[in-house]
Amino acid sequence: MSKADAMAAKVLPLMPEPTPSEPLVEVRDLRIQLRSRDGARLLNVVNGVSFPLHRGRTLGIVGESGCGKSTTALALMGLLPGSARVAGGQVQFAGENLLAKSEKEMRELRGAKISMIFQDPMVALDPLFTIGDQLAEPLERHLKLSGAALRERQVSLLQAVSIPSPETRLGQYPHQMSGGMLQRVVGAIAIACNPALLIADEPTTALDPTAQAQFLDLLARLRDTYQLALIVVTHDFGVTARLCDDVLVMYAGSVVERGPVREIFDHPRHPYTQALLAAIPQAQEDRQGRLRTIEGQPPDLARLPQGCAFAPRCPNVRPKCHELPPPLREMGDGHVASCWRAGEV
Amino acid sequence: MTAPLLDVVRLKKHYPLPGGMFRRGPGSVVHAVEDVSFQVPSGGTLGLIGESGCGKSTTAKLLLRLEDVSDGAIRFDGTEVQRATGPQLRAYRRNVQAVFQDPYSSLSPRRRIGDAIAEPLIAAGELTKEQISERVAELLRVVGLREDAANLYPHEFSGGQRQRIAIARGIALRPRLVILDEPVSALDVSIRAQILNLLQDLQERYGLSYLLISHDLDIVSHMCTDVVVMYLGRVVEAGSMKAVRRSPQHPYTKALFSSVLPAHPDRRPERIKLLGPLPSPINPPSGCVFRTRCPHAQAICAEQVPASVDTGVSRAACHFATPAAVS
Repeated sequence: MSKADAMAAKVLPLMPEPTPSEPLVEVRDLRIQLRSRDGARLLNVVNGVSFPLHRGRTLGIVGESGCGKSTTALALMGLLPGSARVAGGQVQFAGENLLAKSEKEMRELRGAKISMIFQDPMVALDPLFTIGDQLAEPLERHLKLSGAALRERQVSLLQAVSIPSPETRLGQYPHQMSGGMLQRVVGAIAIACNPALLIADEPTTALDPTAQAQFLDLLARLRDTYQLALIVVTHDFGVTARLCDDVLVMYAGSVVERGPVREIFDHPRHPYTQALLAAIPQAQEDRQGRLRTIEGQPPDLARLPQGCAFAPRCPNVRPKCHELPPPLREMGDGHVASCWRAGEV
Repeated sequence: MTAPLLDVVRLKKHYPLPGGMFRRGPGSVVHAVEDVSFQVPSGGTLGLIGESGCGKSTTAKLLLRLEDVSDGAIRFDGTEVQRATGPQLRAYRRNVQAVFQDPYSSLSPRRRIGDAIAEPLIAAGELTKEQISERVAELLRVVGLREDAANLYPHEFSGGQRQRIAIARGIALRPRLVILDEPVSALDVSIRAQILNLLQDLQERYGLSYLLISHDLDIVSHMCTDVVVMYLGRVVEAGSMKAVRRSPQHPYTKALFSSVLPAHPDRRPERIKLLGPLPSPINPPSGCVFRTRCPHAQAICAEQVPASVDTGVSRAACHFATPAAVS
């Protein structure tokens, strides 16, 4: 090894693995039903979601309340609530179907190979335990670390998420830190055992703008350093513009559109995606201008329309849309959309 | 230039902390709002921005007279109201109303929404029962709800509809100024757009002035004519919305706008990072409160509180802001 190579190896201790051609995650036709609180109705919360995800890549799952984006994420984690039932499909992770695994097997994977970051760090962290205790939990459980090795790993994890004076922070409690700092602690716990897949559900919604920007920078850096497959669940297209390679847009439990992030922003094919993008206030827009809105309400998930779920609110609706649900059709360059009229534009 | 509707002059709010063995000792004071001055133009929208703990919501509480002012003046339409009582305070309160973030917590779950909207009208005591129910029906129409919605309870509405109800109640007494405290933060994107459009429609129709408090800089940019940027209880920059957005003068404003999420994946902006943590408002830094996190801080910043400088673009409280050339 030449001296220059040795230097490079020192600066870059983690050589990113070459991206294998096989995706790490392959979700196929995932379907989930949820029993309503009174038990009387069966809600179709996820209706055939499919996507591939490679290591080192980021997928944004975008949609409004109740579209099924968080339920999809929870299904990947094996954390569906008791009232939910997988009605079909597969979640392939490193060649295995997670949906076929027992709860015990999932427990070995969660926090080790697959991790999740939730919206509110104050809820995710226990106020009665120090940052160090909470960081030690996955390390003791999955990596069987203890003593000096544990301590060393705790410190290096806090450094990895850019928390200054980590030795001091390990002895502190959540209430002694700001929201942005706490979310970084949650990030450190999530990557503690070198996961391959990280799922972040609205990770910056509870944060101030500067903390939000910093945390998204951090997620991008962690993804690149550890070649994580990253899924970001969000209602905010700005988050996908900042962070994602691919975007999947959901409406009423279905994928309406999926594709490379630039394609989605420049050539949205589904009327729902188009309407959502037009509803975002943007700086350059004239103040007097009105934002585009979407009339009506999302459908009742217990009684989905026979045809396209968006048809009752769609400005471009045709009679066929009410009769048959449109399949996801290839638009080129890995861009798919489920609209009968997507090819016309 | 027309006189401003609301003129806030060197407003202060200090919360003294109790002393004691485990406390910070007597004499400790939270400087929640310090020397804050701004004006809300008549018929315009002023945005109040800044991050958690900057004092924007405390300022709103002072303006609504929900908290007592420690020092400074609030002039509404030329009259000082910061110590107003009795009929004068009542008159002020009907002219200045508020809409808050979460309509679920501002509407009682056990009251029909017709009664909730009628409440301020009944309290004002000027209309007969029939006139009140007519006015309630009119208000529901104006905010885009059906008249028979009056008989329903809050849980029978969606989040966006509940915010419409809160707005109907906010404008019931025909106020001149409405304080909007994070009015759309709890709503989905498409619903958010509906509510923002409604607020603009009502402003044009009734000549309302708005004070909009939000952490969402895109929404503030879209809605506001003027903007005030707060940091740790102080105003760091103020000016026309367009000018400040295009060319922020204060280092904090620059950092804040550089953190706005991009509108397109090809426009990932160059970010300006702030140093260190937000200081405590109990013992704020000497001189410029922003200096502990400012990338350009010098010795003078710790010694003197920077005066507000007219930069030609805006007024910025920074020792290194360049004054506009005098012509």
